[in-house]
Amino acid sequence: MKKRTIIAGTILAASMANAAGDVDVAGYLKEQTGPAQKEVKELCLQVEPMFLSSMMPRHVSSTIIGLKVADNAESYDLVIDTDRVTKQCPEGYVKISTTAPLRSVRSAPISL
Amino acid sequence: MLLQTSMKNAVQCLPYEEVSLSFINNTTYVVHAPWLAMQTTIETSDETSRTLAAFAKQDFSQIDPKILSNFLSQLNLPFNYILPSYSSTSTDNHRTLPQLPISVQKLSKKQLREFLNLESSLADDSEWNWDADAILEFSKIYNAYDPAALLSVVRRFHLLDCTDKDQTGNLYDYCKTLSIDNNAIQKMLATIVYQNYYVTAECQNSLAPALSLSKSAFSKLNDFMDDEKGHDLLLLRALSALQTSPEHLYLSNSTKNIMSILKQLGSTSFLGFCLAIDFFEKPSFDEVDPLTELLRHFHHDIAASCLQKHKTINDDGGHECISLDLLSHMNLVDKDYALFAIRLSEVLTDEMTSVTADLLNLFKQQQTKQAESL
Repeated sequence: MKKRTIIAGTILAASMANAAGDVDVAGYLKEQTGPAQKEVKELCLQVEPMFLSSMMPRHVSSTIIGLKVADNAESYDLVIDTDRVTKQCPEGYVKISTTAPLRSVRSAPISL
Repeated sequence: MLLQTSMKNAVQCLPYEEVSLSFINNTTYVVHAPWLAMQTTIETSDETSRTLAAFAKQDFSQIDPKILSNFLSQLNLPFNYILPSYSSTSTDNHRTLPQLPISVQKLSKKQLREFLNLESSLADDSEWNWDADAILEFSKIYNAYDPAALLSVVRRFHLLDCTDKDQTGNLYDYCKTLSIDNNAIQKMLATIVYQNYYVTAECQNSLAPALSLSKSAFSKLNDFMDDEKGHDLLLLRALSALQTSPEHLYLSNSTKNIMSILKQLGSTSFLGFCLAIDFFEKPSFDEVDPLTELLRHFHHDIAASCLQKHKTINDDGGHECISLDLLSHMNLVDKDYALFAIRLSEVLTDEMTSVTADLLNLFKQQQTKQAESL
């Protein structure tokens, strides 16, 4: 039986790419929306891949999210604004939309 | 106000080896993997177009890895590795392993199955097939292991196994070819639906132990559990529409095992638990659930609508990202803890890919017996 593995080149590329630097997304956002900027009600952010993949549902296919900060907030809430996602794409940002799949593996009937 | 940040230029994703790209026109691409081909329309700069064109030609010297990484991350589909990184906000430490009969490094698949007290199944006698050393090497950072990077590799291995071994397509095709009476077909369909009913009926019981290990991810897990409540009722309604009740139906040992593993993961390895949830929550990507389609084929429209509703609820929940979300709380883990989660994931995948193979064997045996008795 063939072993499931990953190729050495990918590991090398991954190591090299990782050397480009780590990013603390949550820390960055906190800095940007700290008390000094509490007056900001709404922002558009291009978010980091890791953050994006952990926060956004698959069917919301863009990098644009709304960040709303209440006047008296000690912290901030991230809100996915699907209207903004689908209708607006500011200059300099990439808009991607995906359609239904052309092919996918059929899943066993064991969904939660 | 728009924030352009330097963060967006960091390379965080790399395509899986199996992923390729082809063009339909200047703005429309198809991303291919063995488990999924997805058409994508992209409005973008010349720079991005150049990188995508180079990727389509597999001309790696012309690919800007940052642009490719950004493209893959925005797709947010199972097409890429996540590179290891460290986040100061992921503070939950997870390192406790259960009392194993032997060190995790020496643990065989058979020993792990015995430890988990699994029922005998088609997945019984096999060796470790996943290259755990490669997974560990990939996800290593600062002499520890990044859970999200590890998940991205394990997810690929799981999807490859599903593509190669899972018999769901063959099972459904086999059912469609049978020329037998309606009652016999109805019982087969009910047996298939029953596997899913069992999974949903055991769901809360199997998820609950993980709350005690979830630390700062507790509320997220609790919300997820709330979202999963009541799904069994939909499946029960489907069974009722098929005029059967659960107690008269065959339950595959693999179906029993997957829920048993999930429950034990919740009290032994929160990383393993999150990897398992990622497997369970992988979206089917299709508009119509394949089982819905099969039920419709045999004109069981009420049962079909119950299955489709279940799929819609799951899709709307957007739970395909829940595992990464839960893991965002987890600090880097040590080698043994990471390895144990990898081993558990492989055993779970073996069982998940055996469910429909077991049913296909059962149905074929039933047909053979019936033919012999005539």
